[in-house]
Amino acid sequence: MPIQLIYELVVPPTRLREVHALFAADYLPAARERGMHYAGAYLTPPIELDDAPTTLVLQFTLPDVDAVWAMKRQVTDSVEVADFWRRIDAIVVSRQRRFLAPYDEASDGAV
Amino acid sequence: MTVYRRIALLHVDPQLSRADRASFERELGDVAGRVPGLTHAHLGRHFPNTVGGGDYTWDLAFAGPEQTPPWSDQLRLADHSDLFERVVTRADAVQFAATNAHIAEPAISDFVKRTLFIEVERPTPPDKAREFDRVLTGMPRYIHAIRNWAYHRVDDEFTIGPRRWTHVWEQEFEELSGLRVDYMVSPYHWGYVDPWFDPESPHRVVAPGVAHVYSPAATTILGW
Repeated sequence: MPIQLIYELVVPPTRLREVHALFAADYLPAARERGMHYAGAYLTPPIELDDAPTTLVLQFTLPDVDAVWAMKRQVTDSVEVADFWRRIDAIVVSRQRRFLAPYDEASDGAV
Repeated sequence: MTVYRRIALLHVDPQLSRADRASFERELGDVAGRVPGLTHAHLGRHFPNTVGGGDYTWDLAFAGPEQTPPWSDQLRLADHSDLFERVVTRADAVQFAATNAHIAEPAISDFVKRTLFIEVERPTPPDKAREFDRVLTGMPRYIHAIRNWAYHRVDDEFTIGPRRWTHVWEQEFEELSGLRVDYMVSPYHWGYVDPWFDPESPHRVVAPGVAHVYSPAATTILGW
């Protein structure tokens, strides 16, 4: 079951390039090594705003649940990952991290 | 009457001989009745690959909080002080009134008992902590391999050991696969509960480092 992992970073005006550059330099290379397949960066609303935050959406996919746990195990004690998120949190208004499963299988067996 | 429980996770000297280990297991497993107020005892040797909790889970139940001696008095009353001095290299003990146990299968036998000690970060706002409790204890509704379960806030002032654990999350599974497979592959777990533990998640409330242990047992412990 392929699983999507979505980061939503709510970025204040003028900081979007800075946040994306941080992500590209200090997170993405190691994320790929952890088995996270990068599916791209998106904006919503679909243009950078100059008077309100813009949300930067970062999409990854993982092939299955074993890959999810393998990814998690590799960051549990990672000083670098913790430091990266501390630097992001110092900039962004808020952030979310969501796991998505395909509809059919996600609904299978649900209460 | 509410049972008052104490759980100790014990690390033992890795050089302990097979005979000394067997003697240690008999001594701790048979302690019920030798300490006033102590009604039940079970010593579970951990399966391989447990994390952060050492070699044994020592589950104990007392008739009530007033009948529960302090940890050091319990060891002295059972004549265990010297034994612990020689054998135990670290003990993490917590205690609490057993008020939140859910027993769907009281006759469960030859099963796996799992214990998780966690430390919810104390600055966590109360409403967020309550939401974490709700999400965590929702797991048995989605993971049917969890037959019996319990979730408790520990009584802080009695905690023994280097960590300031706040909660104990326990389950009883009929088979080891219930924990290693059903529990781990459930999207409710990895996608909904784990973010509260995950250092990458903005929802994290659990401090880094948990004690995740599991061991075999013959009859229910959570149903005491």
